[in-house]
Amino acid sequence: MRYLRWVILPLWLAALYLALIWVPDERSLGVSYRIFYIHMGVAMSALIVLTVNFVISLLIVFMRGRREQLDHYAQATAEVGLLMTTATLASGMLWAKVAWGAYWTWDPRLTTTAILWFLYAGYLLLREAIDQPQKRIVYSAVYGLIVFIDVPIVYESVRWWSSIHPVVFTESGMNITPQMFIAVLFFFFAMILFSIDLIALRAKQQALREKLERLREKRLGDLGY
Amino acid sequence: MSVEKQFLEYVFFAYSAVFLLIFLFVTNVWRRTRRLEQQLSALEGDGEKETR
Amino acid sequence: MIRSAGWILWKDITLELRGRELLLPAGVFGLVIAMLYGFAFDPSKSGLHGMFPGLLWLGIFFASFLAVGRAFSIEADSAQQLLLAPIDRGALFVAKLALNVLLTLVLAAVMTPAFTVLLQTALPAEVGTFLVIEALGLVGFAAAGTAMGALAAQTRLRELLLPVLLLPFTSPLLLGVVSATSALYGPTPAAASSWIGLIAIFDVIFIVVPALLFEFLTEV
Repeated sequence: MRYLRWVILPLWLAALYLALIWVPDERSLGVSYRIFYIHMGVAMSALIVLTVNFVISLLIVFMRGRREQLDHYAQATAEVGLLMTTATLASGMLWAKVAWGAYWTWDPRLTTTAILWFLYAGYLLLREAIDQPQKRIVYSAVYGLIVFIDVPIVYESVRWWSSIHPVVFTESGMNITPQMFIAVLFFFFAMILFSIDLIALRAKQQALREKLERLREKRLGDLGY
Repeated sequence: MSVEKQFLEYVFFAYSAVFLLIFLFVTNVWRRTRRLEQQLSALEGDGEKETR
Repeated sequence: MIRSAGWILWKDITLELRGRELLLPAGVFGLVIAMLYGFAFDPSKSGLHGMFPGLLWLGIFFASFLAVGRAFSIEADSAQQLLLAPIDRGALFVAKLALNVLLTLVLAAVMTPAFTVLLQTALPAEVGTFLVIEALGLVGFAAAGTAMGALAAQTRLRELLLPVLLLPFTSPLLLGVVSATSALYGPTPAAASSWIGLIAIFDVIFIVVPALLFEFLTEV
């Protein structure tokens, strides 16, 4: 984990170089389609990180042990997932302004992604609002299981309904040129490794906070409160 | 303004928007971790004084 | 299990009939919404009729929301006693769900005529289909509301958190009921059937998934 950070920085620089300079312009959208690389990177990270959150929630609900440690990761993945979803919406809206002429349309994929944002914002608010630790762990895990319903819907939305949003992964293979694929792959790995690092950092911080709280209570106990 | 330049602006905005979001998140996490570490060391320091 | 669910439901209905703590405020709120819509949108303009299904359903959702959110707060002070009673956890969920369905049905029965009168529209010609849409839609809303109400009742913020938890979930349901109702007013009422399918899927998901997970909530 320590050395991860030294991999991420060059990977990001390489990804930026590939996406912004190396890959040639596209025919109809010109230079503007270069938003695609960062958009795709954060969008895929968002869906993957939220899927990890779902797996953690499953473990918390159906397995007994190590709930506290798992819960730190549940919090961390939800936060990073929400961050990535926000980034997806932000970059997507700017691209939409160029490609479709409006910041927002009620396209199925945009709509389901907006709902996704609200669901995980609600998840984090729910966590904040429950004081009792045991209750917070189980309640948020149960809510995490329910909100995950939207993640496969976001992924499939462009395939199920007629959408103006472009599809990259189709049954007949990738919908992009090999050069674009390489650049996207770099961006994707840069984003996902960065997400892992952030999640680890945030989970470590949670553990630290818990340790602090325990220590405080012990001190207060020693002083006779 | 030429279309090409306008496109370039949007690319710039999109990349900086994402990096700004990430930057804000990371600094927030770092700040909070530092504060926690400070509080922790302060608390441990107190304890040592008392036991002495 | 059905028996104990029946007892809890009967207890809540008796409480409601004596105190009228849920239906009365929510019902009056529903009527107030209709009146405010009347002020905000001029009902004499023809453009309003296209918006009527959306206005009606938003009104019903918001008013139901007040009633549904409190179903688990009824015994906020005595929740422990209820959980100590030797009854199946599933029975508790079923009872609360049934209560919420009843409450929302009563609310809709009051609000739908009031909305048609105050906004100067008529019900669609196929009243039977309309009632099916209304019943299915309200079951879905009550189911999602029961699940989220169970979560929200245990938080510090209680009902304040419920809109954030519940309303994003109900967006596909709202899309379904509004589109189905609009189809009934349109030239091809048969188009409503696929939307009714969407509503039914929503109902099944939000009855089955929370019912399976409810047990875990009562453990802690």
